Amino acid sequence: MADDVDEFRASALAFLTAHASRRMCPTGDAWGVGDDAIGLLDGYRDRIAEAAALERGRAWRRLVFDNGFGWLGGPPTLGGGGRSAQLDEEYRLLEREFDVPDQQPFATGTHLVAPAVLANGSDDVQRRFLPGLFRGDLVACQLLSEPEAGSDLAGLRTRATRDGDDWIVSGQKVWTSQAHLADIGQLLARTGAEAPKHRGLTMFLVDMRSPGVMVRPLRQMTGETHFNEVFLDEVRVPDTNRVGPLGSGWSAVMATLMAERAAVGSGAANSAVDPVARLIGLARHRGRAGDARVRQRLAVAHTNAELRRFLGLRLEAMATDCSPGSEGSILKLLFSEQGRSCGDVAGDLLGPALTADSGEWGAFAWTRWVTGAPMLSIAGGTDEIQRNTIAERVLGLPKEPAPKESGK
Amino acid sequence: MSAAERTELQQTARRVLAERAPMGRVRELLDDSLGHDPMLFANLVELGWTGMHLPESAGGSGVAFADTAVVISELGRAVTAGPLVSSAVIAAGALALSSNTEQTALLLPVIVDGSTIATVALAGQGGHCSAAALGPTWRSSAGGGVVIDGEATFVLDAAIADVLVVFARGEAGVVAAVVDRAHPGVSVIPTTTLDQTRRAASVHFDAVEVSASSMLAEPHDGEALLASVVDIGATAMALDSFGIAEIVVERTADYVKQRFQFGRSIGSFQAIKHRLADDVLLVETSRVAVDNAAAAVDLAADPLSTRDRVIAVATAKAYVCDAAVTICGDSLQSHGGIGFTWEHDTHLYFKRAMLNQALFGTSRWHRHRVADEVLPLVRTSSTV
Repeated sequence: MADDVDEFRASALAFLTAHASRRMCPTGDAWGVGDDAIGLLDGYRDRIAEAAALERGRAWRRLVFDNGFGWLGGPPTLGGGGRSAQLDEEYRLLEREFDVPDQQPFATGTHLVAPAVLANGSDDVQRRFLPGLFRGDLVACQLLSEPEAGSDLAGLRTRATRDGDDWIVSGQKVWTSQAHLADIGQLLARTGAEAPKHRGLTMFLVDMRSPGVMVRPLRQMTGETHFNEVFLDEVRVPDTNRVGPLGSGWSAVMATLMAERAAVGSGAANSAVDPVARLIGLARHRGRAGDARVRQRLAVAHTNAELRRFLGLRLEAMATDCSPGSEGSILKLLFSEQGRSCGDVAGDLLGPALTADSGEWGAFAWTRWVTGAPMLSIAGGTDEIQRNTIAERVLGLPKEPAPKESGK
Repeated sequence: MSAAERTELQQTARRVLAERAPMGRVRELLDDSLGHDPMLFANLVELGWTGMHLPESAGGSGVAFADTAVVISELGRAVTAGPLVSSAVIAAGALALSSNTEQTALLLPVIVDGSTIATVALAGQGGHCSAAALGPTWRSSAGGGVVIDGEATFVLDAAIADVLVVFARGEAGVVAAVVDRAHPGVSVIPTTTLDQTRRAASVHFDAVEVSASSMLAEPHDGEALLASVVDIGATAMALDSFGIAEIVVERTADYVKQRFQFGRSIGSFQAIKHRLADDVLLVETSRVAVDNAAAAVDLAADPLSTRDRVIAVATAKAYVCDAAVTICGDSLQSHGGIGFTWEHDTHLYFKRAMLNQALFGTSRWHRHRVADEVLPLVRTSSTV
């Protein structure tokens, strides 16, 4: 196996070297040079630039896939490499060292939606959607949360009603990343009117260009637009786009959510800038490197980031294939705590310069981090939900008793 | 050892300690004059646990430090008394790393077979163990050796030790030497410690003559040996605390499941649940921290750069020892009044975790070491 990995790395490096150049400054150590952006969410202000970036990313994704590096762990019948899923991770790490077009828009499809489709979808659904997700032909989004169904996701109200060979879907979704770019949406909708709430849900793949789909951008507290609201007004979805049997949607989507927690927690989805390195540079630059209290805080920040990285690697090695359990919750909690604490240290070092732009390199830029950090404790399941998951799954503590139905 | 063998070792250790050093026995030893059970120590020697990671030439098994680490954590988990860690891990580590091969050949085998107990004496007032803060001092003697004066604090198991590995500071640098506890001028004054499952003492050195043949390190390599030995000690304390952290979370979870108030198990309340979830997070993060540290202080593996070793160990010492104390405090709160009683075991874990935090460098000092590596200052800073 080790030999296989070495041989794989060599071939992947040969491919990358032939088609891309190495990143000049992967750690961003040079203070005051280049873009000082440091944020937790990508967010384009310019939709035209965003669409152009997507096309560049798509072209790269296709090149990667057509050369056999796009889905190493996938079944050969679907265009995959039929090899270990670990090689996909190896490739991703190698690719990070090269200056390639942003691949983030495809991660929802490959990391979150595809595992659920692979585990639950019919052969037909898998054949129609999986190669496209990995080849970049299809950008995916997730139509899960609703205004009235956040932490209590199973209480969602979007309804799919059978009509011949189709379903008619109506409802409202929210917090949908890249809905405005997506070709397909992973939809969780209520199909069983009488079934208990978790068992009345079914998963579908919705063509985001169907009539009746309306996407409205949602501006978040960073001032940028990352998420969207999605309105579904009698959207016709063919039954052939159903993933898994009727009523199986909850378990299919839970697998996705676990993967999402692990992905958010591992920081895989985050910017290339190392926040701790940036804080160390900031301490130096502002003449606070000798301050004992600052040094203690930087040591803690370094420690937490390192331990999270190692924990992520360990959990990756443990959780083979696509069944991360509460490990994802642990990683996600660690990351949300670190998002906050890095912001705190930056605030400590910057003082008022965090709140007013003086033009100083790497100073006001931290506002994007500080205003983005609350998202880490909310998206993909709040910190509180993660803690419930850990206590119930790892320690076997009892669930909170369900409230008695209020008599009506 | 393979992962399976390591798991088997862990199960064996857990079983042996449950049989021969159960909580009832731990409590009997709290006020015991010797402070440990020589029969149990003999059992552990027979099992080969005093020489696991030591070289085969010294009677050891030459396995990885990570294998000994399993035993150290189990000793913490069982709050076991005795000199296995102080003698066969820390003092033996100093001897194994020393360039004085004669002393190594002389002492390691008798440490491994349990007939000699050794311990390191180095900390100054307050338990600090940076080179500048060492308790003992040295000056050259006429015979080519050194004369040692001063006091070393927090010396584990000094009262039952036969041999002391002493680190001392001087004008020219740090030296290390082997000194018999019975040597004229050495006096051992037991310290009253918060954690009664272990014994510590102050060791006074009054013009103690050490011959050249007993030197383990000279001024040119003494500080490096000190750092290595402090790192072994710090790793051992982190492993001990990891064992405590793990069992205290398990015991607390068991308790809150069976404790009913308001007609339901208190483990179903989020106020209880969330605190325990945070403790699980501390345990899982601590697990990778101690594994990194154990790999970093391995005697046989290719040595890491000093920077990597210091970061791995200092990170683990500060993080894990703090985590164990937090977890014990959380456990006290989740247990309510019963956890505050002498009869309940929580205080035994809590106090041992607190002593681990203090030995071989405080969390603050270890974070300071991390900062010195990731943000080096132009002038060296080692104030605590």
